[in-house]
Amino acid sequence: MGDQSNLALSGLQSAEKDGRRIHGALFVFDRSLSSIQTRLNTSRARLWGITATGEGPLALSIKKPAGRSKHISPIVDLIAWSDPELPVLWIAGTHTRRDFEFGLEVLHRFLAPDLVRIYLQTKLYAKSFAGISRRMNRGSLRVMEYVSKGLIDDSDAKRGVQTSIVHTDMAQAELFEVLSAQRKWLSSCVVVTRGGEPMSGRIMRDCTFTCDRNIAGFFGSIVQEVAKTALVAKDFYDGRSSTTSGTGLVRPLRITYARRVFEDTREAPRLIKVLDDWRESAMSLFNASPYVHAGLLDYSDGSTYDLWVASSDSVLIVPKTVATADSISSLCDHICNRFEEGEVLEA
Amino acid sequence: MSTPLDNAVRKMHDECNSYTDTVMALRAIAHELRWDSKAKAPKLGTEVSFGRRMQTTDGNRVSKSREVTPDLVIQLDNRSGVIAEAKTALSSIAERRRSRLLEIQKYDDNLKGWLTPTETVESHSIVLLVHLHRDQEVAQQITELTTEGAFKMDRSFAVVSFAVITQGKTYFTLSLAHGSLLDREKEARLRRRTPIDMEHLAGNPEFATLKLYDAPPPVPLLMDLIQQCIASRLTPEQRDTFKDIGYVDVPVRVEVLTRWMAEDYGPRCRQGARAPEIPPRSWVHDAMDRFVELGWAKEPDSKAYGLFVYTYKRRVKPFEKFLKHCAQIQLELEQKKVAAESWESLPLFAHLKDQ
Repeated sequence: MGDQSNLALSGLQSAEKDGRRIHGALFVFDRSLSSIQTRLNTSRARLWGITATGEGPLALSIKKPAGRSKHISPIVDLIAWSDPELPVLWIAGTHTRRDFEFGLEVLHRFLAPDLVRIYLQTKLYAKSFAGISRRMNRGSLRVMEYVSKGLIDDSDAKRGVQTSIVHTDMAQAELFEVLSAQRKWLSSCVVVTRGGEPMSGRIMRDCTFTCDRNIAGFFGSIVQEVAKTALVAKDFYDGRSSTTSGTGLVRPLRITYARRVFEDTREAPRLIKVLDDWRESAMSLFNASPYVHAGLLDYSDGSTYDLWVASSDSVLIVPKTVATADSISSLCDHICNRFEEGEVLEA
Repeated sequence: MSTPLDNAVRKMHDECNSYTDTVMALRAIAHELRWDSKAKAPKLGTEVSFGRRMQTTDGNRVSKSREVTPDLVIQLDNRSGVIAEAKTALSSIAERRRSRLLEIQKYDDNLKGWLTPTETVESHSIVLLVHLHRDQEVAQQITELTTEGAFKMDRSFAVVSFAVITQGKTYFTLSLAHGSLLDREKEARLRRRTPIDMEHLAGNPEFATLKLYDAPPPVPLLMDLIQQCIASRLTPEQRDTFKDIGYVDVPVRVEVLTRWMAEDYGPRCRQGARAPEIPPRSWVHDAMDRFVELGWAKEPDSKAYGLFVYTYKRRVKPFEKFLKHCAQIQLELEQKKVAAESWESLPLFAHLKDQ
């Protein structure tokens, strides 16, 4: 492990010994840490309330702007370091989860689209966990709690998504069987190792995590594996717009469902409503029935898309001139998490 | 109860859908006519040009030695091809349709501009694309015009209708309403009505970004494309300013914006000098004028013609705003027209009608 990582982890271990909880996040990032340093050591960054010191790991301090929730600390301190082997930027902190999320949001917004946030669809969770299990020399990975989402299954209820929390103790592979049988998707889960080096923590869908025990082990054995999955997902989302595909042609993708979702006439309007809520974006609805055709503009980085629902079991996403991996990942997750999780595939 | 503005908005939205359907129809016929059903892939060596500047000969019955721009040119091989023209906004009144139908005869010529060494082909078919709800009337009228001697085609000519149908999946259907094609196999397929998966058309990387063809789109549709085009072309500094303060003023010249629009949404193919000017500058300029009316853009200096400053900021439901604004203008124009006609009908007040 590189010097930056070692330094960062030893600092986090000390904090853990002091009884602090560690929150972390990974972003796919294929530039050097010094390029971030340069961008963070500007008057513009200071205007955003961000200051950065050190060379690696970076000590970041994010000031809460006036008007933000009183529940957020006036200053949030984080550390950031680049992975010695993977194109990944790690960010960690010991404030509350709310503070940590605020700090991440500011940094992500400031550095987007260079920092790519990847979301773990249930299949990606399963892939990561299978990888973790394979690499464990002793013991097993168990799930102690999971938060999942699923459609409200009541014909009298308004169509929508419900969230459930389950406290359990099951093998990681079993979790995915249960979710598949119940047609649910995963939002977060608490994992522990049993029989080997003890460690535990929660892994969220947005590639953030909270470690409850043994940060060094949790980081080295668990979240590193999640990072590898995130990199594969980033490669899948990359190079899809006409300006980045290398051929001048767009590379559309499709979210496919195992059932005929859109045969139910209430579902297309629900999808439209969900799309309307997608981060800093604007939707132009050209056609709502009998098929859906909408244009989407992501203001955060200028990505644009056409979105079509012309079959009962899939959503077609056609990137246009610009479509960053960060934006596509967010759009696919927004549909999968807020409407219904399907499989994101090459169109 | 619907207000006149609601009705005008609905009408404008229908016009936008009709334009989009026409673009899809052109994509669909291009897909169909070059599709090799045995290989399940486009026929090798075929080329598609959505809009191509071609030259007529001295012998042209309608347009002698002139430049013409068919909506679609399909080069099947070095010897043959297809010219297609979409006419979707055809009147329900036969007399008003007449000149538009007769005009298509200009493609019945040894056109120059094909993608061959001599820029000519031995033979080509001519396809007139119409919406399903007009196909029988058009077919009937073509027959009548032919009988009276006003319409004559020496080359294969076909009227092909298109429609969108949904049955679980949404399909774009093409069907032969009149005439014939050089390619008998394709002709037979079109006679049986050919359904094409809408998703396949929408997601076809080759055509997916094509939004404009050789007819002016309804202004709201163009405005929507312009705001997306500007969003995609912000410089890193402009993007930073937007992130810092929530908006950024983007100076943009109409000729530059027109070039961007052509690159992003116009017909793209290896056309070189024969590439059509789609969109022309005038379409973009008119749309930018609408942005100024809406308060989304300014013309900083009236002497610097064609320079606009577009304010890029987060907007909610932009297309709905464009529809409403353009419908309002349309409605006001119609009301003025009706008022002017009323004045004229009252001789006593006729002298006031221009005031």
